[in-house]
Amino acid sequence: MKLVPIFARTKHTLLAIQFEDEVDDEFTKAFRQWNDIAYLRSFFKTHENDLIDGFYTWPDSQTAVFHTLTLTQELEDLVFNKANGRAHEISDMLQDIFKPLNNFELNVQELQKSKTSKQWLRLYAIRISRQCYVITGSAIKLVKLMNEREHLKKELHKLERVKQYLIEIGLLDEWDVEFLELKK
Amino acid sequence: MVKTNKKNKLDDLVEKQISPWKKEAAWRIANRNWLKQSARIAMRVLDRMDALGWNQKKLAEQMGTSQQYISKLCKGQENLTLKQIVQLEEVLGVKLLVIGEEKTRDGAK
Repeated sequence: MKLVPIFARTKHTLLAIQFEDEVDDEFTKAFRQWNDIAYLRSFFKTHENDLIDGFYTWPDSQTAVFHTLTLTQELEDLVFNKANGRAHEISDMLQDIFKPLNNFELNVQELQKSKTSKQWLRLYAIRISRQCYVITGSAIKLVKLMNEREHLKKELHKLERVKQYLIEIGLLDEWDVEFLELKK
Repeated sequence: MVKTNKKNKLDDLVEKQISPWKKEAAWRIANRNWLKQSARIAMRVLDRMDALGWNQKKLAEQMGTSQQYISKLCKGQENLTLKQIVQLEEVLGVKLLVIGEEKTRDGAK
């Protein structure tokens, strides 16, 4: 497992895991997939039932692809615009876009907000210090709970693996672990 | 003290090589306008390939191009020339580019 810095100027603010069997870090991989039409089309076709009859009640998979591109651009712009910022600016931005991962029920307010914004992109992360986040993976989440779908369960498993790794190398205390997910 | 230890550990453990994300993001942002059109074409091509029961290999054969080129096209990341678009239209038997309604000489549609 490798810890890859996302920003050149502030190397210790945002890191991404690169797993042994992968050629790219998880942050780069997320944005490549979310900009890849063939991947997105195939994903939404596979999960068409979740898309149409599930949490978001979206009309069809074709417009879901273009909506995802828009969401991706907004997120990419937000992060890119901070790429040359100071550590505290990046930290503020990360604090603003991540929330604790709640694998159980969302409260009514969160549920409503999520449904309205149709924000189904997810980045998963572990914070190892006040200003340093480690991205462990990403997903498109069309259902309410993580353990409802295999690709989301896989992300939970990756979070656990990275947690163990960070504890082993002394970057994380076992009693101070918080899993995070993208909230906007 | 704990903070310093963690920082030192980070210095040792973090890769020297920066993630390619920023460079790729800069390219996507700079090329956003044509990428949007490329995405629309990719969607139509993929829909048509499904209807014909073709995979990327079959389309590459029909186009006389590499599978790598078709893969990039299907990702919506190929800056296609008009010649390539017309060839795709011919091979797939579908319109990919419509430039407004054509008018006759007297101005009628």
